[in-house]
Amino acid sequence: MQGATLGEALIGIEGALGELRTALTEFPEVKTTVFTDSDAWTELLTYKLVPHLGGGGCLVVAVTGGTNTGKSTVFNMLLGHNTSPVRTTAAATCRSCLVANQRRYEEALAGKLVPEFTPVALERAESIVLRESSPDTLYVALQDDLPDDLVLLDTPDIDSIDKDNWTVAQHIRTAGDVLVAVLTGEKYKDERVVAFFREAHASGRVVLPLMNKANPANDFEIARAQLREFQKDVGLTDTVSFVVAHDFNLVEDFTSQPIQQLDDTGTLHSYIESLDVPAIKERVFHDTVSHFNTAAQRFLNNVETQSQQYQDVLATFEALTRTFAMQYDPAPGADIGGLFHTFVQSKRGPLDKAMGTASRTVVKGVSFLGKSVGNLIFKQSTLETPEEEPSDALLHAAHAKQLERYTLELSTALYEKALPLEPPFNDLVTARLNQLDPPQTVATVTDATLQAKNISDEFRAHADRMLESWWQDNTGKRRIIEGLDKILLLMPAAIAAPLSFYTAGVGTPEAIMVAGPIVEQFIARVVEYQFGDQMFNFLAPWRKEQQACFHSALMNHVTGPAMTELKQLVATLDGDAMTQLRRCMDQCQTAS
Amino acid sequence: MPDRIVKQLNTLEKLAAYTGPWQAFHHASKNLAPRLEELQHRADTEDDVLVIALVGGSGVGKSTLLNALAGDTLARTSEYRPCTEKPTVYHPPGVTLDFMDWDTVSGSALEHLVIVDTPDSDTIAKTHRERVVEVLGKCDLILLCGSAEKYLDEATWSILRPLQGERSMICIETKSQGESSPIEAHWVGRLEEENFTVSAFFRVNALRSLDRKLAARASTPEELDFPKLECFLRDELSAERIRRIKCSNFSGLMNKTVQALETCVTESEPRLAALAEQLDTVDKALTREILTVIERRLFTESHLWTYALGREMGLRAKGFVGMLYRILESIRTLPARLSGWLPWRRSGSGAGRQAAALLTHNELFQDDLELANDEMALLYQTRQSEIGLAFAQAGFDRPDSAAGLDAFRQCINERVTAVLRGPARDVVVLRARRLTSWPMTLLSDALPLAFLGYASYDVVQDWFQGIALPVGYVSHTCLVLALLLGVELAVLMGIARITAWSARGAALRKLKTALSGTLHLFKYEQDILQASLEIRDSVKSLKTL
Repeated sequence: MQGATLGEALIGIEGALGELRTALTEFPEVKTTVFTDSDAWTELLTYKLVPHLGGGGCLVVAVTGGTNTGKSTVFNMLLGHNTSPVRTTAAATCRSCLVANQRRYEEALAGKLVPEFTPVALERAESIVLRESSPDTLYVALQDDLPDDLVLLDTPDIDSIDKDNWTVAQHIRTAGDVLVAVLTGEKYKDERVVAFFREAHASGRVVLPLMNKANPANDFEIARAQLREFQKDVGLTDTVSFVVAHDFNLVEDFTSQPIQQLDDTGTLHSYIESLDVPAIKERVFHDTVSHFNTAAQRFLNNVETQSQQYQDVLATFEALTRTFAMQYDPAPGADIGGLFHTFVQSKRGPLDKAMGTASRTVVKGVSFLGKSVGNLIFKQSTLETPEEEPSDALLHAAHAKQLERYTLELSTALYEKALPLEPPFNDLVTARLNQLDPPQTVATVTDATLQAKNISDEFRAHADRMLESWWQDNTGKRRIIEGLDKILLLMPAAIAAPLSFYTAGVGTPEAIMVAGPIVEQFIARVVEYQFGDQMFNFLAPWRKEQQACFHSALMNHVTGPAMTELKQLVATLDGDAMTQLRRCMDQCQTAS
Repeated sequence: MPDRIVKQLNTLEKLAAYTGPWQAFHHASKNLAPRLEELQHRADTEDDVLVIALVGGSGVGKSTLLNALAGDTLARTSEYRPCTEKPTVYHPPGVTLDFMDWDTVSGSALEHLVIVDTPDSDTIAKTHRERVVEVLGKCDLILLCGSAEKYLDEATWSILRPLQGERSMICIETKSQGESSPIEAHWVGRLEEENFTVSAFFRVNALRSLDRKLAARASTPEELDFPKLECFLRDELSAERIRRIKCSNFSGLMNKTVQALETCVTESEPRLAALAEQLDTVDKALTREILTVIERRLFTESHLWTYALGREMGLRAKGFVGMLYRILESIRTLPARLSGWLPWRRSGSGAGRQAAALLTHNELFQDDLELANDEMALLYQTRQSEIGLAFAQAGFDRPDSAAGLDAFRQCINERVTAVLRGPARDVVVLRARRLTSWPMTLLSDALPLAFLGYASYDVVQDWFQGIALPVGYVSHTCLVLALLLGVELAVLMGIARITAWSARGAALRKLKTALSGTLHLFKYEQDILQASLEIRDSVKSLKTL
């Protein structure tokens, strides 16, 4: 039952990893980064753990070691047969070679035994030392006297100068259940060799150290000490070790020589044959799973940290966009003082309206006259062109300039934020930003914000909406205002009528009729300047509205496109595949 | 040291000290610093002893070889790995070197050579590897040791790979036995595949040679190439040869350094070019925008030009009508001239008054012209943002925007002031001169003078005929004269107004030509780019040196 759960979890993890890989195919560089250093344990999963669930495997004994340590010699001695060619030059064996009996031979050729390699039947022994085939080729040879539950694997060096062999070395570490570590006096302390076997031991493989070319003097005194050190470095405890003396090949047909066990009478051959295959298999599987768990957990944490990091970056981008949107400072061209007054006037009855229009015309004429004269004097005395209300086109252009500036500033800020990110991720953002054509983007953002409308009209419409709702909501205040308006409108006429009766209509009433509207407009303006903005606060909400408009335009056309891939990536790293992976990992951990 | 090298080192020093805003180059200049140090050190120690490093994997017999060369057990040897912990320096007496805490042994008979035995480069003892790297940094010649057991050694090769081309290398097969070497061809072949250059190959069996030397026997053929190696170290490495080796090491390092710099510079070259082009385009566009603003502010209103021309004409007006024009002009411009002294004069930016002052010879107001208003600042800042994006994309730090704005203001003010004070004023003055020239004066004075002459003639003639003219005649004549003068003055003022307008047009054309082309409004950005281009050029010049 427990086995079944573990099996499901493992298959689930494999599936989830596959999904994650597929999801990340769009981002090849990110994929490489995410899966850095994960080859070892994913391989364990794919080639070792999952196939093991099928059951019925056999023990794979791999002869491994550094360059020129005599792996092939040991291999041949173990077989009692010259299968793998031996050369004096280093790194001769460059392809792996598997030897098995008839049944396992066929299985191996079918790719069932060590699935990470491409099996090819060994026709010429020379193939093993020639670099003709691809590095992951596995030559399979037949030897009938081998037991059914044992296959032997000869391997290229694990500390090769050929980079190709490094992956092969990793494959071998995954494939083997028992690794015979072939060492020499020169190599037993080499960093790469020690690291290889340390990882192998940690991932559950059985490591059997073998000191080759040892000096038999004083009952292998030196070899013993060296082996002890090696075991300490790798972390092996309680392991049997083997030696081959350096002068073994003085004997004719040395392949028939046994490989001695140190401190005992046994040989490597007999030791391997005496192994309890299912128990070893089980132990290897168990250790592999626990090693796998740790590695996979590390991977998961790593991915989660990364994902968190990118979410932070996204948050920073959004905050930046908001900052720049808030800097936009829209200003309506129309003077906001007269809005309320105009609005109240528009609510007048028809007769009142006509009177209002008349009085406004008078005021307009007078103010035009005054302005013209004033300007003339101003021009003459200061030689200055008086600042005029900017035209709609100019106003629009000024706002467009502001929008352009903040859009560009935002792009630059995003760029500067993205550049210091780690390599594949900064490229994701900067590539997108490079694709954005600045003038094109600016035009889109400007259009989206200003919507090709006149900024003063827009503001006036906004103010009208506000006033209208105020007018509807405040009936009491409205009455007072209407009353005030009536008084202001009718006052001159009310004063002029009795006066004209008494003065027989000469001078004063006419003067009052002219002066009245001016006074009315003046009072209305003063009142509105004093209280209008406090009452309605036209500007702030409108400004906020415009800024929000700009913000959404920036999000849609600058930050959004820049973040597309990062967002997609975060979604992937936080998506179904990861959830499944997390779930299966938990399951796997509880099961084991 | 030859001039060429001194020059190269100086240029490199300058490049290494670069801390400007070109981020893309920072990486290269940071890498350059240690290399430069080594180059300088190597250039200084060209005549010193040759430092030879014995390098190789653990257990190939480096220490044994040193012992054999010295003929004594200087370095410890053992079957256990790793055996050598510290480098052993074997040097002739009297040589002082800065070899830190390494073991030094004096007494070498090889006068010009220092031989350093290094720890292994491939075992789990990481510090040993670091020490090997240290030794390799100081050595001139590498003796790469390898035995039949261990000669393809990725751990050692990975240390040597970065030094390719910077050090001469000799391969020594240790623990060699028998007549021929089974590994020589394979080893040297693989090394060459990896782009190493091996200048010599020796086969030795150091243990035998050491035993022989300790026993003070004559050399035997069993020692293989050992005598040859000794002979090579003693005789063939002459002072001349040592200098050659050092020179080749030096030039190897130099080539690599220059190559690295060049790669960096070549990579960013198209970006720099694009940046220069964009800077130019943006500069031109901004100039056009600025021009429209100036035009709107200074050139659409005629009163400014009328004022300027009037002032100039007032200075030069001659004759009768001219006198009257002068008086009229001084009355007309009274408000403008007075407002300079009035308390409420500070309204507006004052650009118009300043411009008018610049256009006339008598500079009433001493303030500098301040043209760049908020509108221009916004235009500038927008363009600056555009440039900023391009700079960020090309790998530069953002230029300082506030300083840029100040420079821009200054630049605009200076340029426009120069035009107003120069060509534009000339245009105005030329027209004023023409209008107040003698022919014009005569032409305008002719009519009133003729009328006056005719009236005087009438008076005189009637006097002699004894007719007393009525009082009405005088007042009538005066009225006609006044009318005549009034019409003439009006015509003159009208002509002045038209001329002022044409002067405005001509001055605008002058301004346009003066502001056409690039104005270099982005001075800071320009400087940054210029500095980068200079770096590029100096890297290129390094290459040619």
